[in-house]
Amino acid sequence: MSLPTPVVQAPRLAPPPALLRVEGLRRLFGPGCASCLTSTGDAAGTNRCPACGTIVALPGIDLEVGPGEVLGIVGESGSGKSTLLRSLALEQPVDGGRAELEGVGELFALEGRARRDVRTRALTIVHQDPFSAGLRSQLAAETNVAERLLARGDRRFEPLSMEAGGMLGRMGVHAGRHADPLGTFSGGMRQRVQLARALIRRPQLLLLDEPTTGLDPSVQATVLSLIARSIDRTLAGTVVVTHDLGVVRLLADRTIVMHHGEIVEEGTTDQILEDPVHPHTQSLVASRLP
Amino acid sequence: MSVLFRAAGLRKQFAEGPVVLRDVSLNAQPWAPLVIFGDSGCGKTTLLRCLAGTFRLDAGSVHLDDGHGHHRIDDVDPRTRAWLRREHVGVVDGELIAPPCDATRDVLVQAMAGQAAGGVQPSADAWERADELLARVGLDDAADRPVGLLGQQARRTLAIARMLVRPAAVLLLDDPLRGVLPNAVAPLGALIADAATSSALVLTTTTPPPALFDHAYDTMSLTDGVLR
Repeated sequence: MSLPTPVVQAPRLAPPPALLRVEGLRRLFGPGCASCLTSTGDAAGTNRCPACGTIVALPGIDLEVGPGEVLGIVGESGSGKSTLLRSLALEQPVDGGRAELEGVGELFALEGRARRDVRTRALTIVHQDPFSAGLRSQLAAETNVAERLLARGDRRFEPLSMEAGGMLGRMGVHAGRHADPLGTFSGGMRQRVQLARALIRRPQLLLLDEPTTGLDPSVQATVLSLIARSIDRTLAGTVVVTHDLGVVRLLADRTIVMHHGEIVEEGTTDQILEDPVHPHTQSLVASRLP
Repeated sequence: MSVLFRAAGLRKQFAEGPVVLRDVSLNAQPWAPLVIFGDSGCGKTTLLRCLAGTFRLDAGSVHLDDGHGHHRIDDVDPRTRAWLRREHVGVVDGELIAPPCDATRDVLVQAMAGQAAGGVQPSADAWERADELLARVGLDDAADRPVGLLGQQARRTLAIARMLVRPAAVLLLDDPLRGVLPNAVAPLGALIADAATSSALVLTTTTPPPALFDHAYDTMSLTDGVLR
């Protein structure tokens, strides 16, 4: 029997419109002053304003994420990458800028119920620490996942349980443990539950904040495999923040490099890893373990 | 519709080192694939990476045309370049990139699912097709083995096979039959020839292997950074 030759379509030579468009995202920690933006950043070599002491975490970030795209964000500690992700997750206020999510509108303008609804339906964040993501240790794994469905308005126990259990099963959590309190789970298993909770409503935008940091290597590989399989490569967008270049190499189509709050380099992930231009990117790549 | 992939006047030099590519131009389209051969260290991998957009060019341009329009791959914004790479340009120029705990068969099944990944199950026949391909390239015994436990030749074989289950409009393969399992050379050569009927194919090789030259390929040699 011969293998069928796959048909290659002629290319459609334009990417689809951006799913997420961020313009001028600004976040300061401190009072701020007139010289904050001019005296900080990559060229200044600091993100701390010498005049007023304000930390300029994000001076005005622009970025786009396309449908089906995985964007990696790398940088050293304090570069602003996690602040950027948490701002997009609506977990903290911003001091300026816009973030338009297709079908939702301007994210930073959302308030109250609309904001909560978007955070459970349209975008979700997976944290390094599952309990930062709102998971509760005393509740069963299945209940932690089903909470997201309750937010949808579902109240019938059996369908909720089946759907949550099905997602946990896809994440490799054995059915015999679905009713166990999350506090009895290992770090890797908690991360699987967090992924199940994040993905159960098929978010448009999946935000991953150091999703494998702190896990032992074998668990890290399993969680990365789950993430790679779970990412929607059609309609949804994914942003993964990590200090581990191996993670972006495996997951990300495109990578941006942050330093002192600014994006200092952007390219396809292989371009960033194989032909880095900015000195900070070169330093990150050169310090990668083999 | 025929896809044309072309490069004009490519030049590449690393830092203060020698010039690796000098004014390199080429064309490739379906049914007229291009084999570039040359000695080790002559710049074949650099050329392929310049074509793929992995390496930035010092001069020149790389174009992808479909008859209606074209992109300059070297001169588009990063999101467009990443999208072109994901959707239309397949590259194998190094080791297999896959989670080490994934089973060999799963790597192929996921590649077949392609854009349908993300909770969408692969088609019913994907597992059967994966097993058939693994048997063809001599990896049937490794179907259930994690790729992290595969030997170098097996990983290389799997990397090429994965690219060929979902060929793109443009395929860039760096010495695809080098370092693969010995009994995979002929079947991979045949699969590459099949892919060349629908993809604009550019591949490099140190020595022209009969498994590829049985098929009607255009050939050029790369010497001292010049393509002839």
